[in-house]
Amino acid sequence: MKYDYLIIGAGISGLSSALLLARFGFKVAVVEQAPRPAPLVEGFVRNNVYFETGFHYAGGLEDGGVLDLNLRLLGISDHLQKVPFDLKVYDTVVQPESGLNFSFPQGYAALGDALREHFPTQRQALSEYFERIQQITRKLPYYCFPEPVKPEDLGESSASGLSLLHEYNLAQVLDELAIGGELRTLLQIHCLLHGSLPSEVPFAIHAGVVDGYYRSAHTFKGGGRALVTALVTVLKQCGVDLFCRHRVEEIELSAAGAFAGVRCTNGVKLQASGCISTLHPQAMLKLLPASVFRPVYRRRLAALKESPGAEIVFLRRERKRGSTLGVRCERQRGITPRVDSLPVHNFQGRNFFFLPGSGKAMFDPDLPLSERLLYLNFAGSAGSDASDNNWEGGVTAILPAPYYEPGTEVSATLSYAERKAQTGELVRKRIIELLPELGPGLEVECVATGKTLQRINASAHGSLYGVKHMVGQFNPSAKTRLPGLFLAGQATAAPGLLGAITSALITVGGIVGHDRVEALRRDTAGL
Amino acid sequence: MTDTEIISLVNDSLVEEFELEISTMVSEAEIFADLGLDSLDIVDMVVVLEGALGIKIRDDAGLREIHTLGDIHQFVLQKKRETEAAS
Ligand SMILES: Cc1cc2nc3c(=O)[nH]c(=O)nc-3n(C[C@H](O)[C@H](O)[C@H](O)COP(=O)(O)OP(=O)(O)OC[C@H]3O[C@@H](n4cnc5c(N)ncnc54)[C@H](O)[C@@H]3O)c2cc1C
Repeated sequence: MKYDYLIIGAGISGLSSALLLARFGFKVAVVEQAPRPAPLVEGFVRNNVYFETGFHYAGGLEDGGVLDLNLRLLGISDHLQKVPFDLKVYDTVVQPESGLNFSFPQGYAALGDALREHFPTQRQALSEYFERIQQITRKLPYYCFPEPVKPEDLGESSASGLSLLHEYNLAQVLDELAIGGELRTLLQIHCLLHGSLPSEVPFAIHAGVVDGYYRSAHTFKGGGRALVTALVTVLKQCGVDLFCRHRVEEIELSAAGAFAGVRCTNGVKLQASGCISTLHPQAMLKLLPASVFRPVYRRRLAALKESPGAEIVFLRRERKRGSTLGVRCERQRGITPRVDSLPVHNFQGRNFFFLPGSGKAMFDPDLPLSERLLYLNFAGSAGSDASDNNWEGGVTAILPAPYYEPGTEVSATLSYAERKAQTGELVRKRIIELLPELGPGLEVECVATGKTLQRINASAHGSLYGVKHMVGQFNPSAKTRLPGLFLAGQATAAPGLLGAITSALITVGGIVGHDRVEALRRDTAGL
Repeated sequence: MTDTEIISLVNDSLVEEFELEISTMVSEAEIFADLGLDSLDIVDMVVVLEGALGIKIRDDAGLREIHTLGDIHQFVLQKKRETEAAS
């Protein structure tokens, strides 16, 4: 059977691309190496606790927000239940050394008020900063509804938008507005959500990420897993074929030198007229003969810099007083439940960012574990899925870490497992020191290193978000020189759920015509 | 660097990075029709020119006006002058 389009990679961008193309009447198949779709965001369940992996919370999900409309456009909203993060304190930033302790409330108005109260002398600069954020998002491709800014509108033939993306970084804008000190720290903290430093990240990209979060912060009932389930359900309804456990090892060309199909490591060959690769750009290069692209393009992609590496510690809390679930677990493990001693404190729907000491780089991976940036996520209602299986929501701790180099997981003195156990224990102790309310009930479930990220994220270095978005670094755009081959994914537009979906919109818009996508957006927005 | 030196540096870099024929590098050459570049090559051209000359190119409008190799030369000479004036 010959498809119209093959999508390589069933991540958020691949599944979204497939849905959109199917919506325009094409016969589509998605090819994924992992046993299940979207391995990066589907989370996992252990001992009745659900842990988030690549999705902790999203911005712009308020009714009519950019992500909300995008999910409606994809036709998956009806399958998802939004759960807001804590309205008053969804993100708490703490720098123990300086005493900085600020919590972000949801919405520009509340956030503006809170920040102005803390930093009365910088009121003016703050208003201007928020204004600039919102202004520049209006120029981002496919950010505003319904009429999208098209890549061509950026005035640049292959969608990189030199003046939009490569003129200013975040630090320059903060400098210009003379925003310094703790306010600057707070406005920079969400760099963790894209992985580029303030001195690297294009202001437009930073704005496109934080604008949504400044408006609202949500997760879904059932977390990342529910999102994947929704995408796959609608995909099936649209007649898209999904081939998991199919690792593409070669892109095959026609005699005329156009895209013809893919060959997988299990011997399966699939044919199509066109293809969208959502892989890491360097992984995509490996699927093609060198002669397909100019040396200069190959070198450009090969030289793209990676976002930071990370280690992730998954923790579980002892169950709330009287929770039968906890009691059952403990019984299963042969422990007499200590119902009376169970902690009651609840951080549900909150994140914490514990910062390194002043003067230390935000993502410095070489600091001791006790000093590195520590992000803690208490995912809202991840505790149950769409079919009402009840799970407790786990706690995720993410810390920057050196890149993974194959073979380095075994040190001279400790095995890989011992090293991971040591990391987990150090991080657990640090968390309890920082948030004593969590108390003795906090336990380490497991630890993921760059080796894990390398596998699920398909980046050679096990980075958080694949390649960085930075001023002066030209990431690939949707179109390639190979007729029929297009690119999408977090490397092309931006990382995150919104970035991945936006990349699909840009790429599919390029294929079917932006006007047709715009018409679909008008329908979605009810215009 | 003199203008002539800049022009020959630009030509050499483009020949090498885009595997072009040196004999085609005349200023009237149309970059798409004669040199065989296409719109997708513009970003790589920017990367090559920035690298070779130590300039920053953020001028989308200016790039769109480029049709011939001679246009590239004029564009680059002007950017070079602007960079020097700024520093
Ligand atoms: C720890 C962590 C936390 C995060 N938290 C958030 C968050 O809270 N909110 C948010 O919005 N975003 C978050 N993100 C970012 C977000 O998860 C990603 O940006 C997004 O999911 C990327 O989607 P993608 O489709 O571009 O890439 P991917 O999901 O990486 O898709 C690529 C797919 O291709 C498959 N593949 C690779 N090679 C092959 C091959 N040869 N053949 C077939 N298939 C192949 C991979 O298995 C993968 O499924 C987080 C990321 C990480 C790592």
